[in-house]
Formats: sequence, structure tokens, C-alpha cells
Amino acid sequence: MAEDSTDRRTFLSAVGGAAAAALAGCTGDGGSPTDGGTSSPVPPATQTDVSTPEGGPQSGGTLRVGFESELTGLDPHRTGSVVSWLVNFNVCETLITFADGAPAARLATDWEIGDDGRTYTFTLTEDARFHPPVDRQMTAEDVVYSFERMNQEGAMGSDLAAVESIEATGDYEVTFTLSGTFAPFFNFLGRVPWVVVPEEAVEAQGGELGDFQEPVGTGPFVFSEYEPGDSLTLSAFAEYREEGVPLLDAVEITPIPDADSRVAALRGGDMDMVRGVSGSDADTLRESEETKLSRQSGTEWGQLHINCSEAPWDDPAVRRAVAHVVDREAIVEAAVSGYGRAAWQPYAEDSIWHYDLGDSRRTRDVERAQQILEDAGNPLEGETLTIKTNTRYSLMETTADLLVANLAEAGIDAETEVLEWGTQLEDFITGNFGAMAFSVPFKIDPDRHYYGFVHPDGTQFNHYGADQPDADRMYELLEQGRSETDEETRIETYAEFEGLVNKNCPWISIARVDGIAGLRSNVYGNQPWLLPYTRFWTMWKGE
Amino acid sequence: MVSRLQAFMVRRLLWALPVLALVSVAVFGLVRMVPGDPAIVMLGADASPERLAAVRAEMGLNEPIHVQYVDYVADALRGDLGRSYVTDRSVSAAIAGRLPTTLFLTLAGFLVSITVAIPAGLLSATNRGNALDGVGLGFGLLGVSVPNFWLGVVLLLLFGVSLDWLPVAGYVSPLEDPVEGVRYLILPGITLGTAMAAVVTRMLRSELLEELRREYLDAVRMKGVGELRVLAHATKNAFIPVVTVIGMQFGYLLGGSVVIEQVFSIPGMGRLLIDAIGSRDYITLQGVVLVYTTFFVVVNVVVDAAYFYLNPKLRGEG
Repeated sequence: MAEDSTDRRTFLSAVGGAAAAALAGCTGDGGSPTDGGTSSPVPPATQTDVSTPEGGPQSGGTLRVGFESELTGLDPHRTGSVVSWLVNFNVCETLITFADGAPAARLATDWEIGDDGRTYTFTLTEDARFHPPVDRQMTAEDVVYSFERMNQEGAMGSDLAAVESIEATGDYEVTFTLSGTFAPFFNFLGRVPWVVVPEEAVEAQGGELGDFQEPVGTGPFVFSEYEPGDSLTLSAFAEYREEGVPLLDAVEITPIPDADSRVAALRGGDMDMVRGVSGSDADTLRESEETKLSRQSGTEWGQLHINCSEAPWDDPAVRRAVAHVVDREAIVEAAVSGYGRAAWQPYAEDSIWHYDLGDSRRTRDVERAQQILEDAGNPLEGETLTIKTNTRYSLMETTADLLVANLAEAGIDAETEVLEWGTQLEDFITGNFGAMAFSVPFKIDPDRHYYGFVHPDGTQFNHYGADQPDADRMYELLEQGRSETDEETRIETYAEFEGLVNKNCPWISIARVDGIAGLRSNVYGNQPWLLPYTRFWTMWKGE
Repeated sequence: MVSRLQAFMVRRLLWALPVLALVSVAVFGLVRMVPGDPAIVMLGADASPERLAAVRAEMGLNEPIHVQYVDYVADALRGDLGRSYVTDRSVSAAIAGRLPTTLFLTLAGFLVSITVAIPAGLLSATNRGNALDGVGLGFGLLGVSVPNFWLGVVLLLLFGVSLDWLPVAGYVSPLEDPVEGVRYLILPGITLGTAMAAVVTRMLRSELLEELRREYLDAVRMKGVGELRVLAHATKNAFIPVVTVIGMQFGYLLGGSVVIEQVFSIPGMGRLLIDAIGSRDYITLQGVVLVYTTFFVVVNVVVDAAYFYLNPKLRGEG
């Protein structure tokens, strides 16, 4: 991580700071580190596989990857599944990406943003070649086709709503015009659904959104074989425009949904890499000579999500009191064995989006919680709070269990209600809850974390009613945050917003937890970064 | 005899049809009573209202349920079980791809249990009260008490991780590569077969003990027939109730395979089922449950036929 402040600034403005944490290691973000628990201390989040053996990278070999979920639909413009993202990220390419701390070229080599913040002109590489059987150069027309395809039937939700037109302004130049300024737009371009595919391959597979199940792109790997339900194989694209990329001959992805089996498969040598390792398994892999860990901090943001229209949570005093009761460090220790951080907001300390709450931060202080409730006329007298959760995500389940215990210590009655994940998700969207232990994947742009949860136009359910304190101001800030393109102004906007979140508690932030992958000791070159996609082309296998 | 067996089989098969029809209605209704909107599960917490509406319409979820049902059955009768909401692939094809895997797994479990249970039951019964019997009884007790998934994980850690003798995760079809295929099936087969082996051992032991006490055997013995032949006589009769148990257990094996597929990452129907439940993929879920039910019904018919064949009274030879 360069200490040069200009570099750092550009980088952070693009990625919102998660990568900084991933690359540089997490420093304390105000909460005490969670190393003091009973289990062996967890070192700060750094990559463990940075050291390479003598001789440097070797090419060849097949990397066997144990994936945490089943293989589902692969059409990049249609699906929202992680496995689809991962496959498509290696097979297809986005216009831009993020590398070494800054927005970086991928299919676009250069870009220019118009003074009015509404036109984005991208110069494309002339060397990108589509995989066989298409086998031709990619041009601006392909970019236009792809964005028009992903923009039909609201497939991308509101992400592309701001785009008024996409035009090929040259053979290798594309211009996007937005109907209004929309700051998150640029960062979205580095995410997977926004990949470029050739029309003839889509048409050959049926043409409709969802039909494109054997992705063809310009990426370092070619989609080669798929046994539905069994495994999926990617093979190296020999004509990839970068010399010596990728290093591997092939990647074989096998779904192993059971976490114990996944770790066993890695330890038994049946897999070279497994994703989605739990904190409790991480220590075992870290201590074994045959395996190692790869960690990325802050991939998941855990919170107590609150329906501010539901009694007794509609009373801000109740939310504030609960925020003071939570023992965040204990939750991080219990839920993820310390592979994470207590957190009061989604962005880590070294992100430009991190707002220093100072002394106002609602740390654990049971007396203060009781004082807040007393001042409000004891609204929880005779009440039992219910916290909905599920068993699919251990972070959510443990958070709910410990919260109930924390609340009991403060003399507040509470219970958990354990739901099946699909049910909890429906309750979340329909607003059928008072509070739930919830977590969301880390988002590059703060608009993505806040707008949907608070603004009435955000999602299906408005979690922060207009009758709540500062509601109008919060809506206003969210609108300003997405329409304003000046970075300094955006930072101020979200800082004020975070201040109001801390004051009114529409949710209670609890933790940022690490994404952990397990690797065999002879696997190198995995570079965790801000997005949950593995870049297989940087990876290689040693002896 | 043949004609009676045939008549019996026809009757049983005719019974199976309403059972399947009933199951299809029940599954269709029950699946939709489970809370959780497939569109929401598919699109996640931050889906826009427009996108949710579009996906619901596309899935046909806006139609009245009876219309959905009639459409479904009409297609199903033509062999088309619909297309998965999640993967957009044909459910019939998905099931066809996974059914052999589950059948091989179930068969492996069956073979393991029979291979263990029959000798164990015979030895236990003929050595009543001594150490061998104790081992058999102990195994029987342990086998039923130990949960499948736990045994699976223990075997996996012992033979897959610590000793590294056998593969831990995945599946190779025995049809493609018999040696590798069998290697992949050993641990799951043992895990799956143990509980059934235990039940069958105990059943066979007690039935055999019962049978060996019968007077007709004394008559047989008096004819000067050797003990082994006597045992063979007794075993055949003891098998009548045991066959029923084996049949029922075969059904449980099929149920157990769901858990085993999860533990050993075997891409069979059980995995398809669990995944379909998690993602509220109604179409896939219905298809898989129907196939499981059909399978269960077929097993029952076969068991009845075997029972009919073994039991002289039913055959009209009594």
C-alpha cells in the first residue's frame, strides 16, 4: 500500500476503502481488537500466501476449487448468484476494474467524465478477442449490445436506470449519457453483471435473457465444460491479450455446500482451494503445514436491522438503548472466532467513507442504556423483544443469540425467532419484523449500503418511516449522495448521514467480518481484493 | 401361481396411481404454503419492486394456483416437469442427470447393509448368548443410535483426511470408471448402509431365533438332515418378515441419501432437493419429490411381490 496520499485518495475514492483494509491489514478501527479471547489469537488480516517459493510463478496445472454454493444459472446479465459472478468474472470482462489501489483498465484503457458529470466516454482496448467459436476482435458495438441487453426487463434493477443512452462513438470508443448525475455509476462498472459478451454467441444459445448459459467473453479463461450439479471447468484462453496470463491450464469448480465437507476436502487434498471457510475452521487450516489461509477483511457487514415502524422499535430511545447494550467484541469472537472487527459502520477506518463518530459512538454501556430507557419512560417495561434470525448464516444466528444474552444482562427480556433463510428474507422485504440479525456483503459505494435501507424509493420496504426523527434530512442526504459527483461533497454528505444513523439508529452496526478461503500450501498468487470474485489468472500451483 | 401374482401386481400398481396423484396435489399445495417468495429468494434483499414483479410474472406465480397446477400436470404427463426458476434448465433433464447417482448411492448403501447384516444376523442367532451374539447386538444398537451425518463426518475425517485412503468429496460414475466409481462410493455407502444393516441384523436374528424354536424343524432334523440345511430352511421362513423390513429400509436409504449427498458432496437428487428448498425453486422441488415418491411406491410394490413370492400362504400353496 503506497503511502503517497494522492494515490491513496484516488484509490479510496474508487473503492471506498475495503481494499485498503484487505491489502494493508486492518488497524484498530476504534474498537479494541478481538485478539484477547480464549482461542488462539487471530493475527491482523493480511494475506498469508504472499511469499512465493524460489523460481517464481510456474505455469500449468489444474486448480480444483471447492465452492460454497450450488452452480446456478450462468447468464451474467440475469443471475445474481455468487458462483455465476465468479465464473463470469474469469470468462468475461468488465470495462474497468480496481487494481493496486486505483480504478484500472480492463476492457477500457482510458476514460473521461464530462464536466456536467453526465457523460462517460471510454476508450476500449483494440486487442480484446472473443473466445471461440466467435473468435473475433471486440469492438464498441459489442459494448453497446451488452449494456442494452442487461438493461432490458429491469434486469439490473435501478443500477442502470440513470443511463439515458449508450452509443458507439468510434470503433473503439463508447459514450454513456446519464439522465442525471449518478455518482455510484462509475464504480458499478467494475462489477460482474456489467460484462461484455458477443451477440452471435448469445443468439446461438437462444437469445433471451437467461439463455446465455455457456458464457463466451474476452477473459483469461474459456468456459469449457459444465456437468450440471457436478462440476464446471474453465480452461486457459491461449490467445488472451496479456502475455503469460493465465498461469493455470484449467480451473475445476465443484460445489461443496457443506462447510465441514469443504474443509475436509481441502485437508484431504481433494481440493486445492475452498471458499467460505468459517472462523472456527480457519485456525485448523492456519495451523496445519499442508494448508494456509487467504483472508480479506470486511467482506460482510453484520448488523441488527430494525423495522422502525414496528413497536417498540419505533421508539428511537429503544433503538439507542439496545445499541448501547450490544457487546460487539464478544459477538465477533463467538460468531467468527475473531476473524473480523467490531464495527459501528460498514466502512473501515482507512476508508474515505468512514466517519469518525468520536465519543458519540454507542459503545457498550449498560448503565447508559438503562438511563436512556428510564428517560423515555421505560417503554420496554413488560415487553419481550424478538430478534429474527436463521441458521444458514452463523454470523446472524450467533449475533441474535448473544444479543439476547446482552439484553438480559441489561434487564431487557428478549428472545430469538429462528427462521429458514428464505422466510427471513421475505419477512425482511415485506417488513414483517421488529428486528433481525442481518448481514450484507460489502458494497463499493455507500449509496448501495444506505439508499435501499432508508430511502422510500429504495427497495420493497421502507425501513425508516417518514415520521422518524431527521427522516427528511436523511432522505435528502441520500439523494444528494447519489446525484453529487464531487467527491469531497459526497464525503461530507455521507459523514452527516452516518452521524444521523448513530443518533437515530435505523440499524445497529455490529461487525465487519473477513472472507476466508483455504488453500493447499502449494497454491500461490491468490490476491484477495475488494470484491468477492477470485482472480484465477493470477494463481498458480507449485510443487 | 403366476396368474395370481400378476393379478396381485396389477392391483398394487393400480393403487399406486391415486397415491401419486394425491402426492402431486399435496406437494403442489404444501410447497406453496411454505413462506418465502421464490422471486425474493432469487433476487435478494436489495431487489427493486419492478424487477420482483417481472420475475414473478415470468415464473407464472401470478396465476391462480389451480391454473398453475393444471398446467403443471398437463406438462408432467408429457414428461415435461418444467424449467427451474433458478438455473433455467429443464427439471426433467436435471433429475435424469442426477437420478443414477442417487440410485448408485442407494444401491451401495443397500449392498453394504445386506453384506453386513445377513452374516451378522445368522452368526448372532446361531451363537445366541455368547460373545459373537454380543458383538452383533452391540453393533445393532450402535448402528441405529448413531446419526448418519455424524458417522459420515467421522469416516470422512478418518479415512479421507487423516489416513487419506479414500476421496472425501465428489462423485465418479461407476459406469464411466468402475474402480474410481467404487472408491468414491465406499465411505458414503458405509455411512448410508450402517443404520439399515443394524436394523436388518436385529430383525434377522430375532426372526431366526423364533424360527429355530419351531417344531417342524425337529421333524426335519429327525430325518437326519444336517444342521446347515436346517438353518437354510429356517432362514427362508425367517426372511418373510425380514424382506418387508428390507423394503421399508430401502425407502429410508433413499431418504438418508439426501443427508449423505450433502456430507460427501455427491451431486445426486438429494442435493437437488435441498437446493430447491433453499431457493424456493417450486418447479424443481415438485419434480424431485414426485420422483422420490414414485421410487418409494415402486419399492413397495416390489417388496409386496417378494413377500407374495416367499409366503406360501399368499401364493395359495399353503
